[in-house]
Amino acid sequence: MEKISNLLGSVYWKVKRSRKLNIISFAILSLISLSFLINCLSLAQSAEIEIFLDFGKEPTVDGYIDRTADEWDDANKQKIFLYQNLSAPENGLEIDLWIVQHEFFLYIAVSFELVEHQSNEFVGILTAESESLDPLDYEDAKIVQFLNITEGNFEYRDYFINESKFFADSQVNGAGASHLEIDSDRVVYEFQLAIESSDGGDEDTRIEAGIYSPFMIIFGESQNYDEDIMLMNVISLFVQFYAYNPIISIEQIIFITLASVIFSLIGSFYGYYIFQIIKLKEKIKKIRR
Amino acid sequence: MSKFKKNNSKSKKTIVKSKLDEDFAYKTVFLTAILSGIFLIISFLFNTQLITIFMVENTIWFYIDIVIKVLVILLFFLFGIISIGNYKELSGKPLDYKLVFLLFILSIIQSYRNLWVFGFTFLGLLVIIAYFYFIQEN
Repeated sequence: MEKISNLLGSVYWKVKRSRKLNIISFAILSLISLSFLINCLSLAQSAEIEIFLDFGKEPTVDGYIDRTADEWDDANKQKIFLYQNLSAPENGLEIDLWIVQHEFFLYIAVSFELVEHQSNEFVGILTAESESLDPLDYEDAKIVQFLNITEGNFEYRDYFINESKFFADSQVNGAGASHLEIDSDRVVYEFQLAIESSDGGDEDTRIEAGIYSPFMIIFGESQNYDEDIMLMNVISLFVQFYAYNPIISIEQIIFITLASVIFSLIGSFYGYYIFQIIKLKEKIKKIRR
Repeated sequence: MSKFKKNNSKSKKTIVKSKLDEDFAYKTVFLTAILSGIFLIISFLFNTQLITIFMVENTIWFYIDIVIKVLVILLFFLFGIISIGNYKELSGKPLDYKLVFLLFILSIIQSYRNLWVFGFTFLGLLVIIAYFYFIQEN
């Protein structure tokens, strides 16, 4: 009887234990699925455009796309929209976005047509370590600001964002240019951003290679960036590591060849001389004997 | 008998002395040849610019760089010529101008990459040769 009760007891314990286990595993599974769901939802709200960059020819940052020189031919080309509100994106402005990586630099071209361009139009590239849908959450801004679009006067500006306010960097890093084709009303903005550079210190975001980094493209028609950013969108760029491959010039090849010839000649003379010294020792020994 | 013995001991002494001198001369030949070889290796590293000493141009470091390169070649020549001179002394032949000229050429061509180094090395080599020439004269 004892054996039976013991057996029953162990069965009861097993049942009880398995129920406990079921509850715990259910709780863990539901937590995991909940976090996954939250993650998916946040992903849905974040950058939908992911671009894996390729290396290509270096374009000239002058606001002109020179098609005769096949400029920007190696660029990754996308058509995206800039929206007023990224949480509820609708009625966006379609832009051509071209991006290419050359050595330690990232080149971005933004071009679009508008029926009427405002005199103080600007386009900017905002960067940060973490992604956000609010431009004021970003850390660094590279802006090409038109001062008078019809005269073609523009300025490249480097700003940092602190507590939702734009401040000019003490040192301007990167480059930017723009040009409006008056006949077609198409404007081109070009940017050059350094990769894996800490030159800007705390005022610039260091764009890391080997990971996806968020870039926000902003558009506005005034010089008040704190309040007047009209359109925006976020893209996620995978910047590649650049493996430095030094090109050996003909001059260097000549110098290397000369060095090997000269020093092998001297080395062979030196070796012969050392051999003679050793032989001399033997000669001296022989004479002594 | 005593006279013969005396002469024998004297000749023995001179033999021992000449042996010691020969050994010393041989050691000098070998050591200076080794030192010359060491400076040849250093010269190879610096003068072919396998190792760049100072990258900054138009500063005091630029001149220090030239001085180091010139000194290394001159020391190679100096120890080389001492070694060859002593070697010739041991083998009983005089050091001829052909060998000096050969060593001069082998030294000067090490400075092929830099005109400044070439110029100063050329002058330095002439000074060393002149110094040895006047020592011999004296």
